Amino acid sequence: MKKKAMILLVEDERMDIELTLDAFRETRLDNEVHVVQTGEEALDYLFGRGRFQDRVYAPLPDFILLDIKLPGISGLDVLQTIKQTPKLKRIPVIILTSSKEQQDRITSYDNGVNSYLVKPITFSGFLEVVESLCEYWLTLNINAPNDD
Amino acid sequence: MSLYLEFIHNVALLVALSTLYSLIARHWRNSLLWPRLVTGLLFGIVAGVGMNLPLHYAPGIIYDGRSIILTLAGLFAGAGGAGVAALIAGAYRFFLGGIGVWAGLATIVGCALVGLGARRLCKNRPESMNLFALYALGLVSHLVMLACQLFLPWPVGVAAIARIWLPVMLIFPLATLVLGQLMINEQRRIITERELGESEEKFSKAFRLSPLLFSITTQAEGRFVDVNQVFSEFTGYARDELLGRTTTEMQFWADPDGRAQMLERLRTQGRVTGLEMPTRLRSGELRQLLFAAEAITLQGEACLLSVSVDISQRLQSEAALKQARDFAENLIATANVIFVELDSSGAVVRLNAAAEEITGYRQSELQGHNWFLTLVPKKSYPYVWEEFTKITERGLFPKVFENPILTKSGAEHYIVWQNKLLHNADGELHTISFGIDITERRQAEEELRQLAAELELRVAQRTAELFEANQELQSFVYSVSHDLRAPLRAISGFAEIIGRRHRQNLNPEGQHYFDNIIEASQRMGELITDLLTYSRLGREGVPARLVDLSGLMAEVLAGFERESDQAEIIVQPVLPVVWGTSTLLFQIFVNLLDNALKYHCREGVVRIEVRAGASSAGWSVIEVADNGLGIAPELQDKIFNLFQRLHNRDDYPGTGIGLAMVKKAAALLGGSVGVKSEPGQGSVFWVRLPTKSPEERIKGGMA
Repeated sequence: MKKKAMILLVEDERMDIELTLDAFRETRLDNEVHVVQTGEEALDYLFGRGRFQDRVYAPLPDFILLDIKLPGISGLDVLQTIKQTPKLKRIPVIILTSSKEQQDRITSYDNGVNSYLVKPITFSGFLEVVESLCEYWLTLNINAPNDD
Repeated sequence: MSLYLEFIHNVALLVALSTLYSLIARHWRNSLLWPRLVTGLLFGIVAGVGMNLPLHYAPGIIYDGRSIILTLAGLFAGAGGAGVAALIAGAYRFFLGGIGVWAGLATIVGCALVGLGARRLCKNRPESMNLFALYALGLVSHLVMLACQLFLPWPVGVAAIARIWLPVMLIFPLATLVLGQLMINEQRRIITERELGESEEKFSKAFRLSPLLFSITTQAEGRFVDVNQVFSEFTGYARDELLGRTTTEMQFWADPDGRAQMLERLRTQGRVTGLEMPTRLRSGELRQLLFAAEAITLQGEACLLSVSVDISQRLQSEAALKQARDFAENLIATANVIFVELDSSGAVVRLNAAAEEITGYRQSELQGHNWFLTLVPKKSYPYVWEEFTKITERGLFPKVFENPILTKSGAEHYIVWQNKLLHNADGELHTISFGIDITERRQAEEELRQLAAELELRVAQRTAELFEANQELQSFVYSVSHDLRAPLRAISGFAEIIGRRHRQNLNPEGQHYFDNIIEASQRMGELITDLLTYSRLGREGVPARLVDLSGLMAEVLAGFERESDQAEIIVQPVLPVVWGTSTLLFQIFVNLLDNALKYHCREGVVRIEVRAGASSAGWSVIEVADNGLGIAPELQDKIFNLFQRLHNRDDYPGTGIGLAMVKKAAALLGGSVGVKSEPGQGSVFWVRLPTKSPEERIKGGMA
């Protein structure tokens, strides 16, 4: 049986976290969402540093939902680091942001983002996004082979 | 006794000679030879005749007046005359013969030579000789005559000299003196006569031909005795009309005292000179005459010879000249223009009050001093001096010339000059210069320049500040809208969750208010989206290119699929190609169509037409026409402003950003927008867009 899908949500806004998690819950998909609230924490998680040393407790995600506007290290910096790190670069990174700025879009794609989504304003919008994401990245899309 | 008789005969002969001489001497002219030859002939003949009236001294030894005659022939008739006389006398003596031939001939030649010598001594003017000179001549010529007796055979000659020397030396020189004096008197009389005649001729010619007015009047009554042609022409009276009439009768003197004044002058000063008097012509015209007059006596009557000249014109031109000079002087003195006259060395000749005022020097302080060394600052001296020498040496004038001068107080003034070269009364070349003090004007100009530069700088600064502020404002709007999205998302997100899961727990009032929250958050979402779009316009940095509006319009219409079911949207199949970015063009037409669809009438089918309007070189116009509500003329300007709404939101929802977005997008593309509309008649929105790049537009000269 396929193991539970693991999603890393990098998001500082508490209410957005709640909405996203609620949407995941509502879709009743069999997955686990791990939430970190800063860029630094996201990198700690991915690199297995500090409290994320235990890979059982903090396994590498099947995809990453990454906000751009984060306190401290920004989402774009996190993206760059991921895509420059060999053992992380094949993990699909989906930017989920409220920014439609051209510059953000360009930087994201230049740094190898796998998808760029704008946060919906309504809850039903969130539902649609989460459903599509899971369907696409967890079902349709065939991930790159894992190094491990 | 007979010797004395013979002597008297001789004297008579000599007197006759002098009378005959006077007849010939009248015709004497320096240029004529024949009167001299005739004189010589006369003297020769008379000498011959004299030899027939000899004083017989001894047989064959005769003495006569020939020595006197030939001496005087030499003196009065010159070489030609004396030669003829000597020839005739000599020939006759030779014919008489005797032992005294040679002595006689020698006497003839010797005396003639002495006479010629005397003529030479008195420079051919025998009439200038006085009595002593004549007597001395007589003595010399008869000493020669006595000496010639030595040609007589020895010892006859010596004996003869011893015998005759006393009577000869007593009588003959005196005879020479008397006869010579007679002839001289005659000659003088002839000369005087001739001179008198010449002077009369001169006077009458002058009287006739002179351009001056001549008149002779009697002193007693002022009766005209004679006038010249010029006088008669001048007065307008014929000569005959004037002669015999008095000046009073002719009303000649314009001043009744004229004649009296003239006579008074004559009486006190002996003559009249430089007297100016007005006179009246026949025409009644008055003329000023300048008189000179002297008294003359004509036929025993005291008369007045007056010469006059018409000086009316001279007076007039003098007056005009004086007036012109006075005018110029006054102008120079009073004009508020600097005037300086310099000689060719640059020394000051004179200056006017304005020049004194500006330089601080009196004219007397500067006169004779070099203007340039005194007043031009050292730094400017070389070029100013060069300019001056150009004027004086080559006559080259700068149209205007500007230079600083250093006043007595040390202040620097800028003067702009205009120069001219003139010859003064002595014929020296002087420059005259007129100057205006432009120091203040220059300062004002300088201040103006500085102000302008400052202003420009300030404008640039302010523009930069404005640009910065605008940038700030734009990013502010952007960040605010952006940051508003997060809470809005939370509101609408959680409201939606409540709506889904907990709505039934609310009573009808709660449900209604809850719906209001949902609606408000939706509207806020639209507003934020539109604001973000608006502020994002033009910030994308995508380069403009040629865009085919036909293709773009198809994309735009695709977004209106749902609305186009209830409306009739007609798009002209071929639309122009314009210069722009598809994002901006997209915004323009999306918003125009959205606008047209939104503000429709309650009844009837919504009709929208998209078509090309009248284009011009380099520009295209696209129109979006609807049959909607229309817009009142006074509102047509406002509708393109941000957040400008004309209708109640409940009737016609909208954010008030759409048309502002159209305007901004069109402006970003270099174009413009507008509307033609009447309330109830629908509206035609037009967009004017360039069809060429800005570079091409500039090159093509299109505005």
